[in-house]
Amino acid sequence: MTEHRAEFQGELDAIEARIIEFFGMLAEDLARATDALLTGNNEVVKLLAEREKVIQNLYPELESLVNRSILLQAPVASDLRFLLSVLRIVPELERSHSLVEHIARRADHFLSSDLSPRSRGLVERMGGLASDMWRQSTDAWYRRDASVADTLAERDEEMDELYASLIAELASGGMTIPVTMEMTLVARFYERLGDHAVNVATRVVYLAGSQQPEEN
Amino acid sequence: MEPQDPNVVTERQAQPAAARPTVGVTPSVQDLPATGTGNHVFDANGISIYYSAFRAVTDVSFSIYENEITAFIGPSGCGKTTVLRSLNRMNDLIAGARVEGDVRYRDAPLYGPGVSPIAVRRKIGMVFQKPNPFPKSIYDNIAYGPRINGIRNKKQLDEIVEKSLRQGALWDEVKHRLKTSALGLSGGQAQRLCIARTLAVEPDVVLMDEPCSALDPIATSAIEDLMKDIKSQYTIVIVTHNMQQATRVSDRTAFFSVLRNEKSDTRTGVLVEYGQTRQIFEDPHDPRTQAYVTGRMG
Repeated sequence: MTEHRAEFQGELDAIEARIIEFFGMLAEDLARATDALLTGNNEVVKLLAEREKVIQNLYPELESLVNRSILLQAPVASDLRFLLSVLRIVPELERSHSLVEHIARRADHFLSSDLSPRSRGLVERMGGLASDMWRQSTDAWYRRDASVADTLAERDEEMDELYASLIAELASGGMTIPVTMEMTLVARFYERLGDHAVNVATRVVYLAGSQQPEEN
Repeated sequence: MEPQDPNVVTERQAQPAAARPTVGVTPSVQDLPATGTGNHVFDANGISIYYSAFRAVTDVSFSIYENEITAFIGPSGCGKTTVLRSLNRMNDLIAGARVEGDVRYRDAPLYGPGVSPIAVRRKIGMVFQKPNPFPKSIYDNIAYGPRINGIRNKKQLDEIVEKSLRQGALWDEVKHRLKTSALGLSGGQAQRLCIARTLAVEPDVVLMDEPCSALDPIATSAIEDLMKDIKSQYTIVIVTHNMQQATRVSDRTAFFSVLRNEKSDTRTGVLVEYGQTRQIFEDPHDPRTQAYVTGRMG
C-alpha cells in the first residue's frame, strides 16, 4: 500500500521529537534539582536557568508548529488527537520545568545541614517519587499507553501523603523559620509536580484513543 | 411493495431510541444526543451486488436512521455509489446488475416480488453528481414530477413549485424568472434546482451521489445548509469524496474500502466501519479507516 502525506508525517515526527526532548529535559533536571537541594550544591542553578531559557523558546515553537499543522493539514483521527494533545501537555511540561527550577533555586537559600533528618528523608522520597512519576508519564506518552493514568493516580496519593507528612514535620517547629518557610514551598512544588505528571498521563488516554491494535 | 405511509408506526420503529444498536461508538460519543428519531429507514443485511459476474460489493450490512444524514465515504471503486444506488433500485436500470441479500425499506423487502421500482423511486429520490436540469423552464422542472403523479390543478402546482424551491434554498433567486430556461442557471443553482425537483414529489428519503463535487465552496455551503434544513423532514444518504463535507453535514459515516484477493486477482467493495461521524473522524477503531481518513491510504 502506498504511503501518502509523507511530508505531513515528517512534521508530526518532528513535533514528537521535540516533545520527547522536552520530557527528557524535565526528567533530567528534576533529579538534579532534588540532588542540589539535598547537597546544598548550587552549581546546577545556573544550568537550570539556562535550560529555562531553552524551554521558553521551545514552548512557542511547538505551539506554532502545531497551529500550522492544524491550519494547513486538516488533521483527523490519531493525527488530530496527537496535535490537540501536544497543545494540552506543553503547558504542563513548561509549568513543571519551572517548578523544578524553583526547587533548585532553593539550594541557594539555606544550608542543607539545617534540615532535620526526618524532613531530609521525606524530601528525598518526594524527589524520587516525582522522578518516577515523570518517567512513567514519559513512557506512557511515548508508548501511547492509556493504562498508566490509573497507576499514576495511585502514586499521586502516595505523594499527597508524603506532602502531608512533610508539612506536619515542618509545623512541629524543629527548624528555623526561614528554612521552614522555604521547605513549605518546596513541599508544595513536589506535590504539584506529581499532579502535572498525572495530568499528562490522563491526556494520553485521549491520545491513545480506543483503536484496536493492528492485527498483522 | 406499496411504499408505506411514513406516519404509520411499525413495530420496529416503535422501539425507543435507546434500544437501537450502536455501532462501534466510544462512550463519550455515545452520550451525544441522537439527532434523528432513531427509527430505521433502511436495513441492509449481508448484501452483495453484482454487475454480471463481477461482485462489486460483498456482504454489506448497515441501518440508515430516520431524519439523519448518513455519509458514505471511501476510495474510488469501493462500491459506495453502487450501494447507494441499490437503495432505490437504480441498479435495476443496468443490465446484468443484481442484488443478493436482504434490503428492507421501512421493514418491507425492497427487492421483494411485486415491488415496483417506480413506486420505490417515488419515495426514495436521488440527486446526481452533475446537475441535470431538464431543458425546460425552472417551473416545469419542478412541476414535472407532480404532474406525472396526476396533479393538474394550476394553483396546487404553483404552491408545490414555491414550496420546493424554498426548501431548495433557490426561491429568492429565481422567483422572478420561473418561466425562463433552467439551463441558464449556474452550477450551484442548477444543483439546488435538482434537489428542489426531487423534493417536489415529497419523497421519504433523498439519496445524493456526490452532489457538490462540481461546485465551488459557496455553492457547496448552500447545499450543505439546505441538507441540514431539510433533514428534519427527510432522511438523507450522501456519497462524498470530500471528507470535510462528511464531517460537516453527516450524523453517521460509513467507510467502504476495496478488498483485494491476491489469489484470484479480484477486488470487491466492503463496509469497513460504520459509526457516528465524530467517532469515525476522531477515533476510528479500524486501522484501515484511520489510514483513509488521515489521507495515508486509499
